[in-house]
Amino acid sequence: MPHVSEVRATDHDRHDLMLVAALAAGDLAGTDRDQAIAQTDSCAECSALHDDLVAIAQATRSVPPPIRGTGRDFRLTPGQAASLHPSGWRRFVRSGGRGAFTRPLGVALATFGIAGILIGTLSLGFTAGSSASAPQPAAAGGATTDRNAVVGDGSVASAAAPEVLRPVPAASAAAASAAAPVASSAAAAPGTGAAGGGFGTADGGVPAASAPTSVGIAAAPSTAQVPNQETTSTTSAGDGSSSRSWSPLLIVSAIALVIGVALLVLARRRENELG
Amino acid sequence: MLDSPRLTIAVRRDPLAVEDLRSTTVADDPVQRRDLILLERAREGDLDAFNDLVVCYQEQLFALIVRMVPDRDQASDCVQEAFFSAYRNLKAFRGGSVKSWLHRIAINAAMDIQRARKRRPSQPYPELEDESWQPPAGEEADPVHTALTTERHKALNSALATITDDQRAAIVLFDVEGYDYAEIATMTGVSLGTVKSRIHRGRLALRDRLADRMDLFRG
Repeated sequence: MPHVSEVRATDHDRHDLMLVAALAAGDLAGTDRDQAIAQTDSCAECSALHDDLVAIAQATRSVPPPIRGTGRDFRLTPGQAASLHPSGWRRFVRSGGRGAFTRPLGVALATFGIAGILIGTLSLGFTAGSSASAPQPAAAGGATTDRNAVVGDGSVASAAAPEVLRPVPAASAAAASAAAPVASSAAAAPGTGAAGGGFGTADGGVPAASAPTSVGIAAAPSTAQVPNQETTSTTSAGDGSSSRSWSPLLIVSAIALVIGVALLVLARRRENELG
Repeated sequence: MLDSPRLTIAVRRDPLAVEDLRSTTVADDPVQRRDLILLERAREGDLDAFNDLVVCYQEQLFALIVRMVPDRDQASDCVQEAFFSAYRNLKAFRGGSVKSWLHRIAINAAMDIQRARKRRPSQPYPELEDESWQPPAGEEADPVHTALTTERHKALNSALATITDDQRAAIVLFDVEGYDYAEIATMTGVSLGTVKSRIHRGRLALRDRLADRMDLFRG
């Protein structure tokens, strides 16, 4: 048989202490008050808690004020006042945060920005998809070729590779032919040679027809960088042209998003300041 | 005698008209009337008028904030920031009590600074360790009573320092500053029920912290 105090302790654990606190604060009326009084009458711990809370409240009310003053003068100097009332664009920004339109405008701009970025990204994906399925003009051929090489489209790569690599034999055909055996060993190790560096993604996808040209590039130490650079610049030019096609919408959307978020932050700060 | 301000107000209150309710309410409280006049002048660019308001309320705000933040330097910073904020936002004042408006700004400044420094806890409430304060001598100048009172206040302040900012602010505003629930709700921007809940929970938390020292408070 459990001890009586153990039973009471278990009962107290189930009691609503907030009810006792509300009773101690005098905030209860009606049935709540009756229930709280019954609880404190029937439970010694609730009764002790009630008395303690009343004592704490009384002690808190009697806490003395700080006897020393601030020791500091909080009056504003003319310089501080001038800095707190900014002029020019800062005033414009501040007045923007003051108006009731700030939050709706911020939400609208942010929404427009997010939507614009989503649409721009989707259209970019659509453009990329259509460019992958349709043949491209010669100007963008390098980029298209590389992109297709990534997915292993050997036929396109083989068609484009001679165009891209055409300067190599013309520039140093002799050097290429002289160094060809050495380069062949380099080309034999996929992904480790210069050819692997220049067309890293094309190691497995480039058909045998284009291999000698790649070997030629890899084999000519002095001139090997030239086609590599050309290829790289061709690739970056291709990316740039594609980014130019979608950048206006994305840029405008990003600007709208930034301004919208800034307005929301401004409105939030102002709310925090004034409560 | 007939010219006394009290009598003037009493005479004016008798023929109260509905349309005059707002202006009469403001005029009833000379402190509030003074505050509104100073605020209006400050809005028009009179820095001296604003500084008069600062002088009127800086001690009150400091006494309030010093109980909410860990040290006096932070309290000074909060009060200064509150007056800066009030000056910046003079035109946002929508009427009502200037005192409540300033208190609300100061409380928000204190809360903001507390939140910002949450990750850098400093020594808690050094002024609570301050032995320089002594209760005023009088009937209760008994050394035992004095020591007991001092010890009780130290224990209470130490416990106050450990509860949450929201609970501490509510308890200080209610118990120490004497605001009612509705005023605290307005100042802190929460509902009446939340204010009550914070006070109740805060007292329960204080009781937990003071469990081994409750003999100081009993009897």
